[in-house]
Amino acid sequence: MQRRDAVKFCAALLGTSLSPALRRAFADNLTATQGTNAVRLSNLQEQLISTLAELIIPTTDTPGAITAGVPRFIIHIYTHWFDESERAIFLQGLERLEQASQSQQACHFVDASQTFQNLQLAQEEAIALNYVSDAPVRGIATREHDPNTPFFSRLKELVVVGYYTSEIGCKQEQIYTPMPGRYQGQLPYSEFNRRFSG
Amino acid sequence: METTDFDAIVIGSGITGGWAAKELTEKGLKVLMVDRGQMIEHGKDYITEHQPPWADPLRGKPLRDVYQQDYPVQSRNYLFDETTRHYFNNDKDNPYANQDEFTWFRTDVVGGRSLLWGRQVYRWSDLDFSANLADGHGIDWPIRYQDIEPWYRKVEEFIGVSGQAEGLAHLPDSVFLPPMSMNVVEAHVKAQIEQHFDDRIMTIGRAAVLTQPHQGRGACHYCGPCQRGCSVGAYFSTQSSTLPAARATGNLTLLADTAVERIDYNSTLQRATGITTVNTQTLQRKRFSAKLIFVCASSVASAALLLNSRSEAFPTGLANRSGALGHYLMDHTYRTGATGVFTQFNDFIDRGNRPNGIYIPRFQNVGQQNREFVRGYNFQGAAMRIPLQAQALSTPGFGADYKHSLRTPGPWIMYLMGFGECLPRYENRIELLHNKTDRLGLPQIRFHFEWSDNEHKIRADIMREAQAMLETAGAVAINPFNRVGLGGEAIHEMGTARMGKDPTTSVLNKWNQTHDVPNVFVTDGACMTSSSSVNPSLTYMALTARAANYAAQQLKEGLL
Repeated sequence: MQRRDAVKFCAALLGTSLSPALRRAFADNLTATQGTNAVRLSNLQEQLISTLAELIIPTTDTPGAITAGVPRFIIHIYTHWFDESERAIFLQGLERLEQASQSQQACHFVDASQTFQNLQLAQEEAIALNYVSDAPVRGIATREHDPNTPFFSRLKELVVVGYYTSEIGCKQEQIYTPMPGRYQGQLPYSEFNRRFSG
Repeated sequence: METTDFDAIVIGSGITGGWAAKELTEKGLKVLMVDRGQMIEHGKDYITEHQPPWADPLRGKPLRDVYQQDYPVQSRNYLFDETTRHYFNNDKDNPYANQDEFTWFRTDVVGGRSLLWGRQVYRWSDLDFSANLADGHGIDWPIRYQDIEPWYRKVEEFIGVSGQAEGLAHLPDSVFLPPMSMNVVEAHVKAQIEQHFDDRIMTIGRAAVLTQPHQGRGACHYCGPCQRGCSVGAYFSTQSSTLPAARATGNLTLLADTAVERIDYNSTLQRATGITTVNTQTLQRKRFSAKLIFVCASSVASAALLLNSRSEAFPTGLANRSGALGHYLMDHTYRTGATGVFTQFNDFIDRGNRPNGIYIPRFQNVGQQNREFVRGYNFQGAAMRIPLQAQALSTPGFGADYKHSLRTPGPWIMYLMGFGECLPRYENRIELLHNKTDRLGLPQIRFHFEWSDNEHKIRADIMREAQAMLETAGAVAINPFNRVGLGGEAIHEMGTARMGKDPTTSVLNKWNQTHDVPNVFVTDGACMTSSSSVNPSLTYMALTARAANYAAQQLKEGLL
């Protein structure tokens, strides 16, 4: 088993649902379209996605999800990669958050306080953490496609994948070493305090 | 003898086809090498090499439907994605009959699976070559280690093998370039295993990846995804190694996009006279004649080609008087082992994408038969920090703290996975469906493959021993696994035109020459009489070089 097989395999054993197809689908240039039922999101929905992405990976001492282009990626996936049931679940999630804000804060979610936003998103996470997938395990035990994946899980996966495969996620959040030239198997972490990417 | 188009034809351009072409052209023969796949030129056609993750070549096109419809088999492969899809077979265009019952990973390019292989190379020993004789499963190999040893040496000196000499009789050392290094956890596990188990050692993987410049090729720069192609030629492939050598002789003609429908046979001469090809783009059929045919199309494809080459003299397939052709299909057991977590090395990280892992040579039934199964297995494995995305998705929460927590990698994990020997059994075979043809008009293949009780016993032992070793080494959260998959998943399929001493029970003699048609040689995995548990590619290469030199000599002496 090659390292790459092992990485996938170990990820699967950790009970996560990495989706290689998602990683493949990520790109900076999102002009190409292939979806047969391309559906456009409203401006407000797109802003909501940006807000949510930045809540998950915010700007700190390094750029956050928005600067890294994550919202653009999520919108592309929503439009061209999601199937109908995935879109429906995702839209329902967006609507739940927006409605909660309208009824409790009398404003759009994107304009609500960050405290409120975090609280609402934590509620979505609680739903996701209680979800048990019964989708069939395929290949090396990765769940390629569970149409019922809850809103938060899907959102977080897209943010994580989008961020850490972005140029900013690779070069600024991590130490980019695409051509290390050798293998070093015992480096003190304290000298770097970051992961290596590339 | 009549004039022929070429002295020799080599069918297939993968690991063995490349070697046959190199050896035969270097002996002065005019060689035609054909491959059904499209041309891939070294370097310039590695279109995804060093592509960063944010620059997907297909610009974000969603491809779930494409994979489902066009690549239902190949997309199961761990290397299959948008950086490698252009190397793989399109399962819809080039199908086989029962894609849910056997996994046949195929490329559709010149260079074949030499571009995608795992690059693990180990010599077999007499523990392997005498296995069938010792326990009566299968027929005896017609060769022993001493027959092949000089050819291992010759191949290794050319391809470059990095590894550590260990002096084991049952896993002989190769001619080594400097070994790659183990990481902190692997070194710890090695020490623990060697201290507590006196029947086993752990060594760094032996890989056809250069750790220093060799034969005009550059050393590995540890970028990681070898499968995209390596323009410095740090790993052995047809493109990096054997093809340039064959071309340098001026004796090679290479035709891509050229499938072979049949090997033509003349019953008066009792020789093969050439091949009938189909152009995969134009579907035009052509004939090429030669004095010598080397069949190197892969275990399955080579057997299928011989089965399809029927004539009055050979109604069930060329060189099949034994009836063994297409039978005795083997693979290795795969995805059985254990993972464990090591918490005491969190202060250390590794840097570099080492295209290699560790290896624990076979220790069961070595010296004496003392287990409830025959044959054995080896372990391959590696230790690594939990991959970022896996850690990110299994860590609850979000926000600044979440983001910063991911800067510290989770603990080290190590996996040990066994490759178990598979017994040669008559029932495991391929057949051709002559009334179900593909777009080229070639019959589709149907696989018949079941694991035997012996392989299941081996799997159980692999799991037990993997767990025991990880426990002894101090791992926690040990997770044994045993996912019995379809045949073919280890991508070590072999045995469908086996070698043997007796023409009534085997297809090939000790020179990889068909018993029935002296100018036809089969030197890929089809020739294997048993499967060992040791990775087979190095042995295929050595047997090919040996057979090519023999055939060239025979041809020169007018004996073919």
